[in-house]
Amino acid sequence: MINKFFEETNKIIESNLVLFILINLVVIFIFYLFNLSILFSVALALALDILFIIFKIFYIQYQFQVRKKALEVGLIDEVLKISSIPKKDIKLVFSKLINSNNKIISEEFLWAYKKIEKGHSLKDIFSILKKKYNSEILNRFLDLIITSVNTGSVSSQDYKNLAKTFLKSKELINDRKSLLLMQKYTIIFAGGLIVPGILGVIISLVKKLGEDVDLTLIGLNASTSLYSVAYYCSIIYIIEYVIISSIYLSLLEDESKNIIIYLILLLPVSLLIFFVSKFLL
Amino acid sequence: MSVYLQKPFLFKSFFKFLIIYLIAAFILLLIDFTIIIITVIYYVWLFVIIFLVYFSITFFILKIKSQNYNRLILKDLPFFLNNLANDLDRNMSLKIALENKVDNSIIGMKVKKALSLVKKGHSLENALYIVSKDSYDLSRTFNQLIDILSVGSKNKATNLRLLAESITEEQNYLIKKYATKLNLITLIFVIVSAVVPAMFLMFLLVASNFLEITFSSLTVIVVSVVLFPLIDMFLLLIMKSNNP
Repeated sequence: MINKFFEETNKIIESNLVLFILINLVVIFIFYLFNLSILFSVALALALDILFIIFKIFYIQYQFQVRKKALEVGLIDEVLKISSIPKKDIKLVFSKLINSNNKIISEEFLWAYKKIEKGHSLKDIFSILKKKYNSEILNRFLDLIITSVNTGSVSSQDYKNLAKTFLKSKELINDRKSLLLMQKYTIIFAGGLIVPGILGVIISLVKKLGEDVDLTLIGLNASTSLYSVAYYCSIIYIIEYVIISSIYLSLLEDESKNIIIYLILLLPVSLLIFFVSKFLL
Repeated sequence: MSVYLQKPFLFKSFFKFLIIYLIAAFILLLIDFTIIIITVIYYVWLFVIIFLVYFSITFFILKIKSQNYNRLILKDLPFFLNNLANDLDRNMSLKIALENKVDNSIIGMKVKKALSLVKKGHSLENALYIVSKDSYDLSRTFNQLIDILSVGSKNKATNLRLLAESITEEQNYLIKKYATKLNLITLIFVIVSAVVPAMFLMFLLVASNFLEITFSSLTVIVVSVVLFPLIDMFLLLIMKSNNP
């Protein structure tokens, strides 16, 4: 995983070398304008570079997921179309896939067909595709084509069954996702709005109460030290809550990398709401 | 029950727990020397709390892992059974059909292990029983599979497809059942994570100012910085471990 991260980082640096140089030049220019120290400008440039790499990696992954989803959606239609071919000739299957309305399917299978024409084995080319997308439907579809070529015994019904089972499985996954989505939004809403909002309002309410009512008149003393302990504890609680929520949200999505995204999004928003709601009363 | 749930009570886990306790006790000792005096009773409480928290978290994590494992199996099962049905439609024997199903998926690996046990002299039924021990759903499916095949009916493939459909429907039912529970769990979570800490803070500040009830700073810190986040975490772990 670390190797993959460094590989991706290397690729990004190589393809965005001009942008990196530009970022560093801008930082040096700022340094020149504001008389900042060299150490600070280098640190700033490095931080900007790292931030750029992180965002770029997430953007690449997002783009890839969109592509994978489009391929999966298109593939179910293609499997159903192929199931209507009476004789399962591999060239006919490929021509159907190459002429697909789905651009990604068309591109990928044209590439695979050209490679096979050049003499590469079907299994090797398909294993490259499997590795590239790591998609369940694609893997099963390619396995079916390999079995069809090897044994010649794959029928139209097999393709229909694959599409049918996958559609049912997809329906279940979608149902589960919509359920988890509800949970996700509740936690984001609670973490970003309700918890900091309520705590901020309560803190300011008690502070106002202490300021407006002269407690010494009724023989009481306002406990300022306890107020500041409660105030700082609330901030720590909000931070802890956001961290726990981010971990949970990434667990829901089975993507541990998303912890950083949720932290980046939720932490400033919740702290901002806490401080804003403090001034509401 | 999956084998995963037997793991938290191993010696290794106790060793890890002791290390965590010693680190926490050392931090407490540092606080004792530098900030406030801490009595021995706090060390006992620390032991009890860390023990409960550590083993509850371990239990939940293992339960979640076990559930993820079962989910992967359940996801593969309909495809496995349908493919098996396709092969049986082509008049293949069960053993050859199973050999065709050996791949990198969990079920594929299980089948591979079962076939290697068959080569070592086990019967196919026994081999399938051994490899499916750690998953209730897989064991149930293999039992039904053996049952369908041993009866010798002509519509073996149809029966397998029906089995695949029943597994899908059962998962569908579980998702719907969880959906009905979810509203209540979410409501409890929002109340516990937002309303209870706010009420506590309100009570704390009002009671200390107006009712002259004294609270030590340590109590406030422990309750709001340690106890509330722990409750939130456990609620989320319960939610996650109940996910279908």
